[in-house]
Amino acid sequence: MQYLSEMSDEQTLHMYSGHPMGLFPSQKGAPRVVITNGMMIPNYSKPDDWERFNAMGVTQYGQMTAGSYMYIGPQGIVHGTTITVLNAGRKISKNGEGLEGKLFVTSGLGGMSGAQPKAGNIAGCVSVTAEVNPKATETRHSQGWVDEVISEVGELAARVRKAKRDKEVVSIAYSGNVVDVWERFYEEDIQIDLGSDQTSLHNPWAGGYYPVGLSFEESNRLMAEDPVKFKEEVQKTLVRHVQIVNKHAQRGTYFFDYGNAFLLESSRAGADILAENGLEFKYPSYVQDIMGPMCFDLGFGPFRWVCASGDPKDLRETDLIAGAVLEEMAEQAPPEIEQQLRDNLRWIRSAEENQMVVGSMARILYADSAGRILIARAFNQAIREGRIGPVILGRDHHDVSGTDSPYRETSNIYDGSRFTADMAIHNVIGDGFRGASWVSIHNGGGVGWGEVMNGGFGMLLDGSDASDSRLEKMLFFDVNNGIARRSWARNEGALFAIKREMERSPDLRVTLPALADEKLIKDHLNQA
Amino acid sequence: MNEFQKAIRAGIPAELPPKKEIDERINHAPRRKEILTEDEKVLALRNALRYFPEPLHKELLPEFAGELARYGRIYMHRYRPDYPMHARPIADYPARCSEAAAIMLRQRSSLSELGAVPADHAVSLRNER
Repeated sequence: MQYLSEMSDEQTLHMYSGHPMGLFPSQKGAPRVVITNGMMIPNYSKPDDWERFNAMGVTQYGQMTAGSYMYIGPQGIVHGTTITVLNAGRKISKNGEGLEGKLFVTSGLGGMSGAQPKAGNIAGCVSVTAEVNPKATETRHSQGWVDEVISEVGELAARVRKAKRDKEVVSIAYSGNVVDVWERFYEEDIQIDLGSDQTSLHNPWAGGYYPVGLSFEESNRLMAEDPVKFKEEVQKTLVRHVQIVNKHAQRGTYFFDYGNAFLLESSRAGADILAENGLEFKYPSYVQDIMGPMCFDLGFGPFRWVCASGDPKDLRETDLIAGAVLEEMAEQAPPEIEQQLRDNLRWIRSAEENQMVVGSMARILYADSAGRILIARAFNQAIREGRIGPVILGRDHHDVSGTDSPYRETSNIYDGSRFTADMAIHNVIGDGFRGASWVSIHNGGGVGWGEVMNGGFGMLLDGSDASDSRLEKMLFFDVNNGIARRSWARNEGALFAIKREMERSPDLRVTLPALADEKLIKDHLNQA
Repeated sequence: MNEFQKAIRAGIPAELPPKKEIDERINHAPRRKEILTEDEKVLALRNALRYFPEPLHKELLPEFAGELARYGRIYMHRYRPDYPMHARPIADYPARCSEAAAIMLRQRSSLSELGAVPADHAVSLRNER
């Protein structure tokens, strides 16, 4: 903070995993801060390497936006979860009906997962979210993020029956282990329509997932005193967890992995989670089924902004500006993207009413490259005219281009390249020299250390012409980089989006794949 | 300049700040398993002391060693900032350029908005400076 308070606009601060290496001379228009978190030589990126090098004070886990100074509380994840639940609802809808009276069961009321009850309410269903840590439950309940707290599973079952029957829109926290909920609901024949899990399975051995049957305190003790035994208990619970989810799935539950490594860790624990081919999982990740094809491939992702004045009036004004841009876009949009624009228009219109600000005057919505640029340009104009103060642009790392994560953001990449991380690295370098105020790249985040590379940026808009030129160049690359990679992987939506972008932008030339016939190749190989 | 601005400008204080008790009401990260060898513990402590002038080491060492033994990490609780952690208007941050002020705003508020995750332990202190 001292360095930041001293630096000029011709210096750059370099942050090495939380350590300020120093201020170096640079130039105007260059990032003021470059952040790396947890960068390792790839062979030294196992969980125990993190424990060791973090304890020595030479690296840290950057998570996603927290380590890149772009965390805005659970609003981002509320939005993402709402979009996911809405679209999951569309998938299970038989006759076009909505989510009224349907039940969503999940777990976790932490920083990210705490968004689930609110998303359930916005999507209009009955939700049950289990959480083992009473402090986390209490925090979320006192903040109004979850409507009711129940700590006895029988009472919970009765309450849920009533809520389903009366088609209530209600979010219930269960203070206890989620496995108990799944098992009890099975015994009592309570139909779970949507199921997921957001325990912190990126960190299963140190507090991210708790064994069933042990109290929270007992678990914490065991974790520190007998980590080997604790690990066994966690794995036993994972096996049991999957078993009961499988039983519900046979009764018609649509279960999806919400990107917390539930599928990955249960398979490592030996749970019955693999599909018949022995390679894929039984359940889709929400990115494979929903977020990838319906959003990321088309360039839609979590654009966000913060009104730097801290004035709620500024936030209201930016909501109106963004709403007007989306509405105009939706009127002219091709059918492939109109639904996305409409969902986000609805979101931004009710954003203030849903009271999601927990500190910064921040907002999120999903937009594609054109939408992000139009909205940012309109903000810059409003700043120039003195209608609002400066605005800080950013985004979640959970986006089109910023993150290479084979079980989450890039899980719907099927050309074999999902275990590479070139896209995320190009993204942070490309954003850096196109005018971001700061950039960051992390190893780990969401799904765990060694499992993902993810990056972000921040950009200050001050109403200047320089801001106009920077926002246009940077936002354009920050979205189209990923669409280009997704289209090279032959993803249909991305091919559509990048061709459309090339028509609009003469300076963009992306290498397009020729689509080889799979059957031709197989036949040839069989003959040979 | 108000107290907050003075604290930011001062950076790591030249004098030892008073010892801080750990606020048990805040949600903390669970204790980590013991992973370092004896040599690595020496390294961890030498690494932590790099931030502070040598004359303070005698006093800081037992505290840092205690944290390492108790939590498996050196959190440097004594140096936790005294000012409340929340988003302030950009004009409140003492800075020579507006981008740096915007970054300070975002850095501090990202920490405060972590909410129910173990912010006090997990990320705060290594990000402090």
